[in-house]
Amino acid sequence: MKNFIQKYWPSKRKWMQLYFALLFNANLKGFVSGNIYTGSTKVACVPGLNCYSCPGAVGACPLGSLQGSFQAGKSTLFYVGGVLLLYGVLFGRMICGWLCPFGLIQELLHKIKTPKLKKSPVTRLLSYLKYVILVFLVVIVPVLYALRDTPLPAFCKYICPAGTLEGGISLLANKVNASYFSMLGPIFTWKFLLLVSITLGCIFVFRLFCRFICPLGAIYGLFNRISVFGIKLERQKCVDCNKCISHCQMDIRHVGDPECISCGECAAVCPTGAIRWKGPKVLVAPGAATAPAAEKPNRRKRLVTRIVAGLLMLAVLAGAIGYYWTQDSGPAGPADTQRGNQVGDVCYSYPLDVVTGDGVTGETVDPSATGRVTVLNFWGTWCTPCVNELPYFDRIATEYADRVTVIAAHGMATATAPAYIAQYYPDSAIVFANDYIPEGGTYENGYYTTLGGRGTYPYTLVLDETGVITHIFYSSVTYEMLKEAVDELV
Amino acid sequence: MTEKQRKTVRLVYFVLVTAALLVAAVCLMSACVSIYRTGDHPFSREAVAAAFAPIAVPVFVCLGLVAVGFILHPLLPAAADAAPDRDEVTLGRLLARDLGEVCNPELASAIRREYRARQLHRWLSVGLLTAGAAVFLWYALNVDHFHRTEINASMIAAMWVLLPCMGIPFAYGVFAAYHRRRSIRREIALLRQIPGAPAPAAAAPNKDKWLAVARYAVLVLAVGMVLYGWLADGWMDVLTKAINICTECIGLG
Repeated sequence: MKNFIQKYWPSKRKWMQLYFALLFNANLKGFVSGNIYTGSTKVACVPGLNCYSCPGAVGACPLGSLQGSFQAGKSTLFYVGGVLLLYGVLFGRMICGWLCPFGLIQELLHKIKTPKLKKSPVTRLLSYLKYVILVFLVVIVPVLYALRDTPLPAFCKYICPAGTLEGGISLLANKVNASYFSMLGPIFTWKFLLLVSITLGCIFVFRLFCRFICPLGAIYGLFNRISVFGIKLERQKCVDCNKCISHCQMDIRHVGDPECISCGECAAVCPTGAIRWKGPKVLVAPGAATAPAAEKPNRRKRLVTRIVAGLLMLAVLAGAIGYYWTQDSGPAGPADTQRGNQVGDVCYSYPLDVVTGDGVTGETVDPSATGRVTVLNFWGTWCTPCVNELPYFDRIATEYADRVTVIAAHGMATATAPAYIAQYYPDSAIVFANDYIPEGGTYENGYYTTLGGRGTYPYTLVLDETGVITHIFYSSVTYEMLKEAVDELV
Repeated sequence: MTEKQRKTVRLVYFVLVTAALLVAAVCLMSACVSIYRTGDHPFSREAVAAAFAPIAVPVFVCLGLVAVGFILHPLLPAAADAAPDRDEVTLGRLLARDLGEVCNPELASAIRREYRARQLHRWLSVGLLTAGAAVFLWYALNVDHFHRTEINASMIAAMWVLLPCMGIPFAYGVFAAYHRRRSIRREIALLRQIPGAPAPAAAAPNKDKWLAVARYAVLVLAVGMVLYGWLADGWMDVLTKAINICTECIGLG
C-alpha cells in the first residue's frame, strides 16, 4: 500500500497545477447550473489555456481575447498584447508547466500506462508546427477577417480542444442546455474528432498538444530566456553530460530554451547542481532546486514559510469558490407574470433604443408591441455567425416590408454597432437597436437574458402580431428557416 | 516473478490497452460522424445519447484496462532507461582538440566531407522551409482567398495550400535530422582514430547583463501597454467576449 501511495502521490508541481486549474475555474456553481460566469473578473485574462466558455471559468482566455482584439480595436489589442507580454516576461513557459489547466489534463492522460513515444528528430521538427499555427490561425486569418469586419477566432473555431472539452462538452453535459444540441453541425464533428485524436495522442506522447500545437506556448516560449522566473543553467558548472536533456520529455535542445516548461525535473538529475531556479532572491533561495536537504539554509524557517504560504493559498481558493458560489448567475426575469420567454408565451415587454449608422436616435422600439409579425434577432459585431446571417434578416425585412418588422438588437451595446451598420446596412429595412443593460443593473437584466438567452449569440425569436412567441432559434438560422417561420404567420 | 515474466506481462498488457484505447477512440469518432451523417438536423439530446449508447461497452472496457494498468505498474517495474544520447557532446569535445598537426590528410578529408554533407542538408532544409513559407504567405496574405461568407471553404482551401508548403520541408527535415545523427556518429568514429585527450568544455560567455536589460525593457513595455489599453477601455471588448458564449469557439455551431 505504501508503495502505491509513494508511486502515485502527486508532486509539488502537480498540486500547483491542480490548484491553479481550480482557481481559474472557481465558479463551481456554473457546472451545476449550466451557465457561464458573467461577472467582472472576466475582464482579466488568465495565464494558461482555459476556455472562457467553460461554466467554471472566472477569467478570459488570453488566446481567444487576442484573436478577438484584432477586430475590437487598438486599445483592446494593447491591453491583451500587454497582458501576454507581461505573463511572458514574468514566467515564460513556466506557465505551461505550472499554471495551465490543459497542461495538467495532458499530463494526467500521459500517466495512463501504455507504451510511450519518446522524443526524436521527428518530434523536434513537429515542435515548430505551433509557430505555423500561431502565425496563420492566431494572427493572419483573424487580422484578414477583422479588416472585413468579420470576427473570426480561427484557432478557437478550428483547433482548440480546450474549448471543445471545457466549453462545448461541459455545457452540453448539463440538462438545462438541451437546446444547444440543435446547433451541432460539421464544426462540432470536426472538433470532436480532433479532441478525441489529441486525447488519444496525449496518452502516448507527452504533452502532445503543448509541444506541437499550442500557440500560447509558442508565444510564452519566446520569452523563456528573459523571463523573471523559470529554470536557468549555470554554464560554468555544466559538464555537458546531457543528462538534463535526456531526462526531459519536452523537445529541448538545452535547458531554458523555448521548449522548456521549467518543470524543474532536470534539476534532480543534474550531477553538478548547474540547474537552478531564477527569480528574485526573496522568492527563490539560491540553489533551492538542487541542494541536498541537509544543506538547505534555515530549514525550519523555510518549512514555516511553506506552511504559511500553503494556508494562504488554500484560503484564497476557498474564498474564490465561496465568492463565485454566492454570485447570482441566473437570468432575473421581470415581475410581469402574465408574460414569458417560451414558445406560446406573450413576450416580455422591453423598450429597446433604436440605433442607426449615426448612433442612437432617441426613439425606442418594443418588439412585443409592434402590432405586426416580428422577427427579433440578438447579434453582435464580435460574433461571426451573427454577421454572417444578417443578410438573411435584411432579405426578409425587404421582402416582407409591409407585414413583418425585423429588429436586430445588438448585445451589450458596444460602440462598434453604428459604424458597422453605416458601412454594411445604411439603407436596410431592419430596425437596429441596442440591448442596453439598465443603469445600475447587471448583464442579467438585459433583454437578451430576460428572453432566455443563455450567453450564446446569435439568438432569434419570431413573434406574431399579438406578441406571442412562435419560434425560438438558438445559434444561426438560414434564409429558408426564417422564411418558413414567417410564412406560417403572415 | 522473474524479469522475463514481468516483461511478458507488461507487453501483453501494453498490447491490450493500446488496442482498447484505439478501439474506444474509433468508436467515439464513428459515433460522432454517424450522428452528423445520418441524424436529422437539428439534433436533440436524446438522439445524440442514443447514438453514443452502443459504444459504452468498449469505452468502459478501455477504462477498466486503464485502471488495471495503474495497479499493475508498481508491481511490475520496468528496467531503467538507456544511457543518455551524448553524441553531440562527444563530437564537440573531440573537435575542441587541436587537430591540425596530428590529423592525416585522408582522415581530415573524410571529416570535412561529413561536416559539409550535414551543412548541405541543413541549408537545403532551411531553403525549402523558407520557400514553403514564402509561397504560403503569398497565398495567405491575399485577401481575395478568404471569402467573407464562405469561411469554412476558404479555410479548407488554405489548408490544401499549407499542406505541401509545410509538408515537403518537414519530410525533408526528418530525412536531414536522421542523416545528421548518422553523420555525427560516423564523424565521432573518425575523430576517435586521432590520438589526444578530449578538451574540457569551455564555459559560455556571460550574457546575463544584456538579458536583464531586455527583461526590464519588455516588462516596462508590457506594463505600459496594459495601462494604455485599460485606460482606453480596451478591457470592455475582452469582457464582452468572455461573458458571451462563442458557440463557434467551443465547436457548437
